[in-house]
Amino acid sequence: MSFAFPPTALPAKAEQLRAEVRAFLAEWGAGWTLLDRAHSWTRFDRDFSRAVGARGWIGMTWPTRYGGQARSSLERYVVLEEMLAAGAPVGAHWFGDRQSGPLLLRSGTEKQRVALLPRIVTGELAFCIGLSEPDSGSDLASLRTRATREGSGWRLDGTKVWTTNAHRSDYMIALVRTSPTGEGAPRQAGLTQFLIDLTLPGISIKPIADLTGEAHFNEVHFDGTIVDETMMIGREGEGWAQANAELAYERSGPDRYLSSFPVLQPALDRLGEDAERHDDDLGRLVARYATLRGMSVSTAGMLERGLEPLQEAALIKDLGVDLEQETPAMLADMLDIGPALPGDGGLEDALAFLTQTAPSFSLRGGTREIMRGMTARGLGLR
Amino acid sequence: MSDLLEMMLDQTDRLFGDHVDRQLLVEVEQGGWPSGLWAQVEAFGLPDALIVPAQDGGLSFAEAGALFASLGRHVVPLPVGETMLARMMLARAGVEAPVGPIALAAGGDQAFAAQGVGHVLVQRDGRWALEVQSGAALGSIARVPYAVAQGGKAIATHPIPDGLPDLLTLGAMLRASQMAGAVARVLEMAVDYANTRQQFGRPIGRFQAVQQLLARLAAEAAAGQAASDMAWSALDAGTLDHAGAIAKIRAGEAARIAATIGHQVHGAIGVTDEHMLHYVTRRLWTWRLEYGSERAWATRLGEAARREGDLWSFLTTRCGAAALEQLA
Ligand SMILES: Cc1cc2nc3c(=O)[nH]c(=O)nc-3n(C[C@H](O)[C@H](O)[C@H](O)COP(=O)(O)OP(=O)(O)OC[C@H]3O[C@@H](n4cnc5c(N)ncnc54)[C@H](O)[C@@H]3O)c2cc1C
Repeated sequence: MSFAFPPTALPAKAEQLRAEVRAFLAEWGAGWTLLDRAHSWTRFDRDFSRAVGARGWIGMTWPTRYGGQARSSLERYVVLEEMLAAGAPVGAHWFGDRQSGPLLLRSGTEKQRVALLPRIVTGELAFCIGLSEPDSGSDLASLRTRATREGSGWRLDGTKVWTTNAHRSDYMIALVRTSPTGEGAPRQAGLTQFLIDLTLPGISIKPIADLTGEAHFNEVHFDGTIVDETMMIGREGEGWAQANAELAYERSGPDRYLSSFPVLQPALDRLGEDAERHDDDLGRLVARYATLRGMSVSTAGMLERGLEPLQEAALIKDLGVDLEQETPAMLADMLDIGPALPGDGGLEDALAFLTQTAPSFSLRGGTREIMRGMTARGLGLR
Repeated sequence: MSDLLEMMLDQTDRLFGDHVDRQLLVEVEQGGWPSGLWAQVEAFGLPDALIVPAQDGGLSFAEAGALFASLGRHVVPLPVGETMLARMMLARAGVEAPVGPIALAAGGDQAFAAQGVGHVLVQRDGRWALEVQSGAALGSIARVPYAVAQGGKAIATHPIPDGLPDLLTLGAMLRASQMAGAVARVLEMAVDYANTRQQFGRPIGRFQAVQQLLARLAAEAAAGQAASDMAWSALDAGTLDHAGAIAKIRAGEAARIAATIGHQVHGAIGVTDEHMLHYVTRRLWTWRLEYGSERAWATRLGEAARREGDLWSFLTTRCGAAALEQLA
């Protein structure tokens, strides 16, 4: 009944790769403020993504015939964790590398793979994830955006919301309803995934400002948008299972515990001599970060062995978001910084940003309560 | 894990499961010594399992970690892990081990001191010393006696060899694994109880509030186990560094949370003498305090991390996982 995370070895090659990534980041990161770094995978920089692509660090586990490097999930893991620890602006390629590409590899048509994967690899294409709707959050299967057959294509009507980076992306992978509910079939059965070119007519994308004053997510309307039938991913009615498998990739990565990490060392540096008084708190933090890192590497090992660690991913996300949520408040406390923000993109600004972003950590990608519900199911309680 | 090892762990797990019940625990807590169970432990060759080669049933540290977790799961009231680690220390120094169980003292020199435990291996600065267990026995939350090693004449003494951590760290890692095993037991008991206890016309496990508590408990169980397993694997690879501290801190935190949730889910019945739950939770509370509290370890770990001056490098190279990288 318990969930196992066996200690997993990163291959020796990974260390060399780590050094390469660090050197690359040292060069690119010279001009990043701490506030920039605190944005991490919500920061969108196509130039950076193209440079990462040029190094072969996007889609690196994918087959070479699609431009990938056929490297192991564990090598990829090292690249990811280095990027996140440094707070690199990975937003433009993050979803494609993490979710959309793997989804196309598993369920896409050969034509879709050939057309898109090589361009994801180069950092040229950005993806967004169209799951949530105004009336369908945690209860995703209740979603109502419709796709109805029209000629040799499908006509889309409805609204997606909270779609991160939709206003800057090339494609959305959307989960939509292809057969209505209430015919005795389970709601999940009528759902299908489509690949949507966001330049098509009948799509309007409206950024939604968030509490920080920035706008990362969007409301996306489909008003009679016609997508070609070749844009369906997998088979009609199988979208639910596909989307769930995709979420395992989303939830198990180091992005689920490192969001606040980039500010940690700078906060200690600021404390200087005073840091000594907080050794106890720091030690506890380190123990939690180190344990989560081990569990996260272990999950990467499971992916490498072809397993689908859905339960494990939910469990790590639950533990990880607690840690990344607690970190900024703890550091602000230690530093005893006042409320004034210099506006120089330094430590105060970065901590203020993270303090305001932290509530999202246990919402995006499935809420804490939903993650715990999944674990409860794994325990045989439902 | 090899088939042979799996079989052996299966057998010892069954041995403990069959023999360590409430009755035996009560006897031990009243001052008895389960000599029959100790004889079985010896018959399985456990005391020398860290000394003999693998083909003769010897264990790596990582494998021993799995055994230690099983000791914790069944709250085995014998110093099996301590004896294994003490005999390993003695063997490395070429010192013949005394017959019977050996306790490990470090951190205030307190050691488990049940009747049958005649010897204690004590940390004395950078050395270990083998002494006759002679201190006055004190009570504990686990209701087993603890004694303060008296520093009597050492039967043998030797520096802690290179490549091995001191007794405090080994003891901490042992307790971390035992706590992880016992936390898994609490989870198991709580889930079983939640599935059977009915209130408001349904099993309490159907209530989401209870499910959320149990999910949290499961996450803690997994984290404590992962941290302890990583430490033993790192020790095998020869670069333990701070992984032992991390294991004790993380498993201790899991123990604290697990005891709280375990009792909450069990309601009043769980705090009755008659119930098995407190035989597990009282040990969790005791083990947290042994071989350095979480705060004591965290202060040291925090100091080391602060001095490193680069937290990310500290996490990736000094916390055990790096050792694993070299294994591959
Ligand atoms: C920063 C950010 C970025 C996001 N990016 C994307 C994106 O790119 N694409 C996308 O599709 N979505 C995205 N989302 C949406 C995200 O997936 C949803 O917010 C999430 O699924 C929760 O849905 P909701 O916000 O409607 O909350 P609700 O589902 O309404 O939940 C509100 C509260 O009720 C609780 N709750 C709901 N149902 C239950 C239940 N059955 N049991 C117990 N508690 C329950 C929830 O846990 C939560 O605490 C993003 C969200 C955020 C905050």
